Amino acid sequence: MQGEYSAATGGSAPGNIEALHRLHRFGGLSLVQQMASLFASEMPPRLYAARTAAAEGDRDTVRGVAHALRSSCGQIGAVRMVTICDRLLSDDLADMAAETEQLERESARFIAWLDATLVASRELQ
Amino acid sequence: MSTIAIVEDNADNRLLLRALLSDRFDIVEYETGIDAVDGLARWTPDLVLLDISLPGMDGVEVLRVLRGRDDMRGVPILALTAHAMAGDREKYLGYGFDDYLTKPIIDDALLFEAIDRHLTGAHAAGSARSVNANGAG
Repeated sequence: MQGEYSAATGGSAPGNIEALHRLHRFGGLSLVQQMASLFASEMPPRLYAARTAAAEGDRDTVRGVAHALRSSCGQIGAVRMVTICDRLLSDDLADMAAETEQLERESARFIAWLDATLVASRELQ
Repeated sequence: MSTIAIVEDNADNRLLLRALLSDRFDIVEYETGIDAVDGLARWTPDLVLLDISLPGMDGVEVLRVLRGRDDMRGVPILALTAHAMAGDREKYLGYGFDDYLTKPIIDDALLFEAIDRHLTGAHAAGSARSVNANGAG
């Protein structure tokens, strides 16, 4: 069955609904739910690592976290987080602490969007 | 059924690859490069999907260790990487990877096509080596 996912918010949503459709095609609703659950559960330690490293000025660790996060965010459709990860990976990074704080805020927004989208999608099915 | 070793530290990437591949292949997963080197010392997979950015021992180091083993020389080892940069493909193929795949995985057909192509090539090369070893061909 093709998944029917309806974005929980409008055009400025923090997530890309197409990524959820793609995951559904790859492995059905079960995979979408597992990926969402894993993403949410893994986020706190990743963000803590980024925040701590940024506070210590540890650029390499921040880049390492951003690199790993970028892949996860891209797969599940956290498009704004991908953009922040790209800035954290950039050689032109201006304010590491500010970007990691932005990443935390965006993570909360995305996970809320993801939860609401999955609830709305269950109601459609 | 062919066996694929997945070396990937991100749990979500392992989950996704398992979901995509486990119907067609036997899958063995390693979370770190060191685990992979240790584990793959005891058996030989048909193909390896190897993340580049691994904590501790990275994918390029793992590749060098595996390529140093006689039984692994004909095994396709495909690089997996996020944040691909211009020139990366050539760089990693130059290191000795057989192919280069980017994350996130958008098109599963590309993944399957690469795996099938390299498995077919490896099996054909393996058959040729067997024939030569038997003094025929």
